[in-house]
Amino acid sequence: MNRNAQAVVLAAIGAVALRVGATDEYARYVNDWMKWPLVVSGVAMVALAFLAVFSRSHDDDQASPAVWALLLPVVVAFVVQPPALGAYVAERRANDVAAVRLDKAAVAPLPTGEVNDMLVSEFVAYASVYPEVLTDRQVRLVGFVTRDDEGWYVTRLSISCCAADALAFRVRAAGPDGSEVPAEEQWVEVVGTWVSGTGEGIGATDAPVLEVAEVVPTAAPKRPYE
Amino acid sequence: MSTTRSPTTRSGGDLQVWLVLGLLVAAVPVQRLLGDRLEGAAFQTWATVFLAIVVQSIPFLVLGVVLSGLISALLSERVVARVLPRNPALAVPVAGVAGIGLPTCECAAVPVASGLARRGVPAPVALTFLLAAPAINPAVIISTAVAFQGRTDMVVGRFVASLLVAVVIGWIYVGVAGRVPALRLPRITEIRHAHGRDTRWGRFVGAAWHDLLPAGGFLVIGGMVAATVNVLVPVSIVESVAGQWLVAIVVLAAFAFLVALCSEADAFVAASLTSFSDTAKLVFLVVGPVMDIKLAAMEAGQFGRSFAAQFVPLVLVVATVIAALVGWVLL
Repeated sequence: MNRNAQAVVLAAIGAVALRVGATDEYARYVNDWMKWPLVVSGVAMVALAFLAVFSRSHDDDQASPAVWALLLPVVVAFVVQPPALGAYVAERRANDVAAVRLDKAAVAPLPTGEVNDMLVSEFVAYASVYPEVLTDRQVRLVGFVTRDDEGWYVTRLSISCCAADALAFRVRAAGPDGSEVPAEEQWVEVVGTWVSGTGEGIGATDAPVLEVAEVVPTAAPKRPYE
Repeated sequence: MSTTRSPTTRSGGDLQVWLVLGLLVAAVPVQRLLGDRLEGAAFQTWATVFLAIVVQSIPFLVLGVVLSGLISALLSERVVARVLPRNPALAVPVAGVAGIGLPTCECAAVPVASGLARRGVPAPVALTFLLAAPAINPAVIISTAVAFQGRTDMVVGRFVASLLVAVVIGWIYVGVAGRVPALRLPRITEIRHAHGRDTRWGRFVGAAWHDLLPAGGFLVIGGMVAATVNVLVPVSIVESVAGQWLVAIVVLAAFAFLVALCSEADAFVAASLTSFSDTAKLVFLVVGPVMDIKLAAMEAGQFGRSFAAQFVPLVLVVATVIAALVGWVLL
């Protein structure tokens, strides 16, 4: 591939980085702090492409054919526009992960008499390691719905670098009586209390259970991962 | 995507430029035609994971290329000679420990190592830096401590084993390179002064240009394989061998190579592999940052295929053995 063609490829991949960083799209792929580095590197790549084309040199530096591969992410970003990861990943990586994300130094008791907002991964971790924190406390979880033969789960994926390392956390929902089970992949906000004894112990194979008092369907959050 | 149009107009009859533009423009009707058929959950998951790997690598690659450009522009052979011990066998551990200072993912290390080698750092020393930097920097140590809930033996084990791997590989290249002609050294291409005058700015732009595109292309190829393995091979399949210690170690080493997670994230995945022994988890943590499919592809691009064909399996074997031994002693 010659110099000008390489410059076009570089500008195109730079434009993808710029678009992903400048819009909310980045949240489907990477962690929050990557937003601005993506914008900066997108600008740098586009700038380097211009520099290369408008510099005087006419030497014929043929790059390796691997450069063609850089067109693939551009086409995938544009044609497929992949969504945030969802139920497909959650089912295949289902929740035998216990307590890997509880990095709070001190586990303070939750206030009584109010609804405590909590991450799904935190809930799973508390249930497995510090169940006393959850006892008799109302919590509110936000996640998407996954289902199996026995019922449904409030599920959330958690990433540390990018979507390739996503871990799935899920909480089985019990009740409320007589209500319909929400559709798969529907985002919901649930309020309820932990059923004591469920999901206890590191490496617990069964998901903790939430006695659900209220289910409200919501729109997908801007940041799909925890 | 309007930015893609402008840089081409100067050379009107440039066939390759038109081919690239044609491929990009053709994406529009293809999307119209295939729109509905691209909805399969498995395919969409692959696309998300693939783009995630590429998107998360881009800033690190650019950072690495900028650092490499700065090294090419600012670091002189004389400074290199003054800072590094003259004897390569002593310079290797110095470079290993210096890896603490580059807190980035693997993608940044490849161009930086190549930039160092261009400025007169002996190849084995640059390779040691390449292996050490992604594995022992502070960001990796902290994420390992968090993922393993402050288990110091795991953190120390990872640090010691990774540093040992980097230094041992460096020494192998120092000690054997002269005597065994079959062992190939990396190909370090000098940058021709593609931008005319040999100014610092010219050298910087030339080095950045020279490193970015091939490295990016190979990174994408590695990312494709990694995303495919990520989607097709669920952890539960890997876990079925957790009981047999030798098989478990080999499988986790291969898994680390193929899924190519970034070194700041792999500890969380390792911690979730609860059915494996700690030694097998340590192997996963030590192999991943020093060698994975993405790195192998980038190294083949940067240092030549015949070099990579030896270097990749050598690093895999050395890393697996050292990690298993360290795990056996420490954990």
